[in-house]
Amino acid sequence: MTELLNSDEYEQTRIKLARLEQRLAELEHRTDLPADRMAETRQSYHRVMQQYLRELKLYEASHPLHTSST
Amino acid sequence: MLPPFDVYGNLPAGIHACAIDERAERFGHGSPERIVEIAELIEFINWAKLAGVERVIINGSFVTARPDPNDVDVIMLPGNDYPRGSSPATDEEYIWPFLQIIVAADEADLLAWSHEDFGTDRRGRNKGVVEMLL
Repeated sequence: MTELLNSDEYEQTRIKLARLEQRLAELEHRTDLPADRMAETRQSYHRVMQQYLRELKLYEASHPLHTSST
Repeated sequence: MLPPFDVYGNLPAGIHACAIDERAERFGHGSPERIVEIAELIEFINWAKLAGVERVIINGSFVTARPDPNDVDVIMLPGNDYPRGSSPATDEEYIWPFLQIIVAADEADLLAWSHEDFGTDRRGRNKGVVEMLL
């Protein structure tokens, strides 16, 4: 079950998601990582990012006046 | 030896080394979740040794004072000859439903996960993670 965030946790989760997106983008530009390693790493990032997105969307759905900038 | 929890139930910031025996004694009892999770971790550590994993970092509510942790975040750094004929972690992880396995790209990525992503709790307070000694 996905836990509902409070406003502080929502902001922290947004920051963490943005950081992961940036790091993954940097990794995608690297040419020194083996393809299978990069595939496993990408899958790991996507899974955690998906979890964060789920928590953010639940928060936004429970706070209808909140405007997401993610 | 692992340090005590802070007032928020977190380990102090940093990476704290721990053997599986100490880990089981400290975290592996008190609720059905903890009993299942420590059993999965022991299985995972045995697989990791065979598969040539170099480092394993543990995060999540499992390494807090929470009595019934949801899951265990496992950050692993594969070695040069990983997976040594075993299936890769992403193919194996379904057999460890309480583990969320993260495959680090390299040492720097492992440290970023440990210190940045998992180095704070949901409210931004600093917290520690545990490195399993393989």
